[in-house]
Amino acid sequence: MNQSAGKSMEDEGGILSAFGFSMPPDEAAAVDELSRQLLSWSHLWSGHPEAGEVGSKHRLVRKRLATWLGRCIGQRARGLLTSSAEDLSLAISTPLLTAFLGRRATRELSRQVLRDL
Amino acid sequence: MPRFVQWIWRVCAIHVMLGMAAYLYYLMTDSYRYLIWYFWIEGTLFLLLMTAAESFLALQCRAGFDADEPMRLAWTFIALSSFSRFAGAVLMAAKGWHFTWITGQTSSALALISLKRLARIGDVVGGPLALALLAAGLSRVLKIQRMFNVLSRLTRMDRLLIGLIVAFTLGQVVNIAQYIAYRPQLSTVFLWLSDPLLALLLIEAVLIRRSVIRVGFGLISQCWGMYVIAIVTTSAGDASLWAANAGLLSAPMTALSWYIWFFASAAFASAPAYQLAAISLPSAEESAARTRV
Repeated sequence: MNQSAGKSMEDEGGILSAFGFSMPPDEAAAVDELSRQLLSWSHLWSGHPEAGEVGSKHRLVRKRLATWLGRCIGQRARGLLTSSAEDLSLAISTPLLTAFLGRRATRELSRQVLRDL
Repeated sequence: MPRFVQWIWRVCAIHVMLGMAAYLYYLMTDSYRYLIWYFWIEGTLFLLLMTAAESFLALQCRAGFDADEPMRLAWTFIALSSFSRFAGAVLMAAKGWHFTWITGQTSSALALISLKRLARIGDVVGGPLALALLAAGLSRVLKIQRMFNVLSRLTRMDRLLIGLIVAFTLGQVVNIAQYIAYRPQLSTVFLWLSDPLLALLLIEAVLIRRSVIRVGFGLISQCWGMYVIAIVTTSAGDASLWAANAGLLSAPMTALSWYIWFFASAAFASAPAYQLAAISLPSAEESAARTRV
């Protein structure tokens, strides 16, 4: 994953240098880190871990999400979304949460679910 | 239980306890003195407070949704219904308290007539208009629930209940059609719509109850559950008025049945309080987390 992100950075660096821009190495590292984090959040959001990725974060997201669904909608709300607890994800539950809580509250809720991850 | 809901039911409990003292005095002395004071002054203030709280909370819920979100329209209808109930309570209070306003004035008779008219308007605004707006709001909620598969299949008992409500409503529509030949006042015609609208709300309540059972008791489902309680208690109040007018209730039972309206208004105010608690819970947790850090 890091290699691919690094490759894309090199490509971008190439484009930037072609136009006469250059990126300092510390900034490039920060952008690389951000890109890696975004990819990780994207996997957590969709609930599909990458091969070899540690599942503890995904388990934590599912647990937090199930708690929030129970508190805000109802304890059996998860059953409306998926038959298996393993399939629960922010991507699946966002439409239901947005419909009944509103867009802003769902955004806050997602932030809470992904906190410190 | 959310803070607002706790306050609503605490105020309701204190209010009803005071009312019970007045009721006990009536039972022991057969005098309506304190009972009349209680319902005219404290009862009216309680209804004004509850309908004002309900309007404020419903408006806050509406503000929680963006203009393009489907639930925004549902809460617009529900907020308008709350305002109608509040306006109706204000107009009824103006009529109920007229004795303190116009005593000794030269224009007393005219003022009394206009206040009576206002009270009639209050009856319509706080009654059928509020019920129609609530029915529109809840039908929107049911549509959204159906979209997300929240509504479950009705049981045989639900179908039987809905069948009875429909049969009762059709009977009333036939009665109304007969009375229209006597050319009643417009406000009277509007008031006749109360029972069919209440029947429609009861059908919606049966469907919502099923969805609440399906998803379990979270804040959102408790919000809709409170509307079910409010609709059922309003229907019970309406039925007790009919029974009292038909002479089916004794005087003490009639007086006792008036208390139902306080529970109905507390339930109406609690419903948006639950929704608001659900909307603000994630940001409240965020603030709490920041405070801990």
